[in-house]
Amino acid sequence: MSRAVGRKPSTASRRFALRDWRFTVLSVAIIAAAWVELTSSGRVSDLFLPGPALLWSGLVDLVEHGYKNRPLGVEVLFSLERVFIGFGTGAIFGTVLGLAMGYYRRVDAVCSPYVEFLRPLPQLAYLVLLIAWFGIGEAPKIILLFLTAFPVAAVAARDGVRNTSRVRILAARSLGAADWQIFRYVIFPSALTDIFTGARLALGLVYATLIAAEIIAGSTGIGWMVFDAGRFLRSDYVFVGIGIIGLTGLALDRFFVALERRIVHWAGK
Amino acid sequence: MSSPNLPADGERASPASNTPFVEFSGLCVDFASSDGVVVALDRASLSFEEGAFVCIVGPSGCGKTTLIQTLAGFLRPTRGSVRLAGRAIEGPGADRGFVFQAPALFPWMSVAKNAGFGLMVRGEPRSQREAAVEKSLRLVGLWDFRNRYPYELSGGMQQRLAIVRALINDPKVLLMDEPFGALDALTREQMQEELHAIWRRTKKTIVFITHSVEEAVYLGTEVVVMSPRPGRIVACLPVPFARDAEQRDVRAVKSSPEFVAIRERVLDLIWRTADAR
Repeated sequence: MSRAVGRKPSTASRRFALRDWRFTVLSVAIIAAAWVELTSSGRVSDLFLPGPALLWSGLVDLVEHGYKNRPLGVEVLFSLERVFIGFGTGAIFGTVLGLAMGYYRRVDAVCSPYVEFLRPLPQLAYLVLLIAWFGIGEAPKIILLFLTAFPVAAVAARDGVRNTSRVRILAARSLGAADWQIFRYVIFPSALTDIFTGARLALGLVYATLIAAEIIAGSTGIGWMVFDAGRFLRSDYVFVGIGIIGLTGLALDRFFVALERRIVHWAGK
Repeated sequence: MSSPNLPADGERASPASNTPFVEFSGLCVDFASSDGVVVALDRASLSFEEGAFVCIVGPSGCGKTTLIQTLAGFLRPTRGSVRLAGRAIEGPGADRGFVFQAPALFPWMSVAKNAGFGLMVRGEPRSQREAAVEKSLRLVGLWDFRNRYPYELSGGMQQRLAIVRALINDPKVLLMDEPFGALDALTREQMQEELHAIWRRTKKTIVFITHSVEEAVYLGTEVVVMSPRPGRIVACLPVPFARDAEQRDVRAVKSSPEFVAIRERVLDLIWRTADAR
């Protein structure tokens, strides 16, 4: 991304980097006002869209009593644990494989059919198979998240290796670097930008898949809570659950952005 | 090739007095392209002595970059040979430093790490490495920027760092492919002076590609003119200005009748190669 744009005067890039918070606040305020107006006037049933008061009481209720006798925090932790394990293993394994695929043409030739096929596949398409193969415990959930993150991370790392500037490789070679040193000091750091982009993308997809993973005869997790509450038409719980999923996802993404700025500080410069 | 040029045993070829330091002989480089084979270099022969400052000029597509890249070992000749100190070039190596047009610095490494990269990968002990880095960064005025990153430097400073990085290995020859092409006019002239000072101080052999005939005549001890399609060497002219003055005044040199005469002669040669097509 940064590579294609190239060097820009700092004022121009700052314009794109900084958000105009006034418009963000205004946008959120308008939607919130419309929500309050629609629900308080009674034009929309609480069943479809709970109003602020109902949502608040739903949240308080969940925080105080939990959902079906399990504290809300525990549900959230169940989900986060799955995300961390599924995303973590998928991203690490995918990145390692992707680096190898980018570096060795033969590894790419052997692995790319599976990675390329798996990547655009909707996770729900093979969910049933995973249940049939791995039962209804934790395994199919984690594997589903793993399979979501893994091909995205692999393709990103492979492209990162391939995007390494040829001139930088030649420069390292003419300075006396051996092949492994070129990989360690030139190709890998160069690919980090793409690896981070891939990791963020994978995390977003894993999050989106979370609810699907927890529907698998699950009885834990925030995704399961949303699904279960939906069956009993408790839309206040559903909205609280959606809010928690959205906000924790946002927080994780922000964490990644901060990490990326720190580690790949040269990107876009 | 005559047999004395062949190194007897791998390590050190005793350079006979008649062996040129750098020698391109009958060099041909073909590239496969979508419309057949493109002859990038056609029977190019050229040799020069240690300590020479060789400037190569010529229109785009004349094979300047191809020529220098065969010496760097980035490209293999289709036919012919390239020798450095009597030894055939097998591939890239630390005995030939390379400076690219866009500085190919490593943006993830600090200025000091970039400068010391060559010593680091070659396993030089840390203390010696740091001493060498400090010495060379001080020489080009980058010591105060040692902990900065390349993207925090100006274009001229980046190119100075690229030169320092290439020289830290103490290469036999410094290869430069249009190193100042992306710099503004003033920075470019300053860099010319700095490079000239480096050349005088280190007595390195330098092969320098440029689009600027004035730059070539000002810096070079010889100016090589090349013609395009297929790339050929047209002339190799000795030029006095680089060796001449101890204290030289740029403006005076560049406006002197002798300088203008050689510059016009080189330009004339380049124009004639363009007309001949």
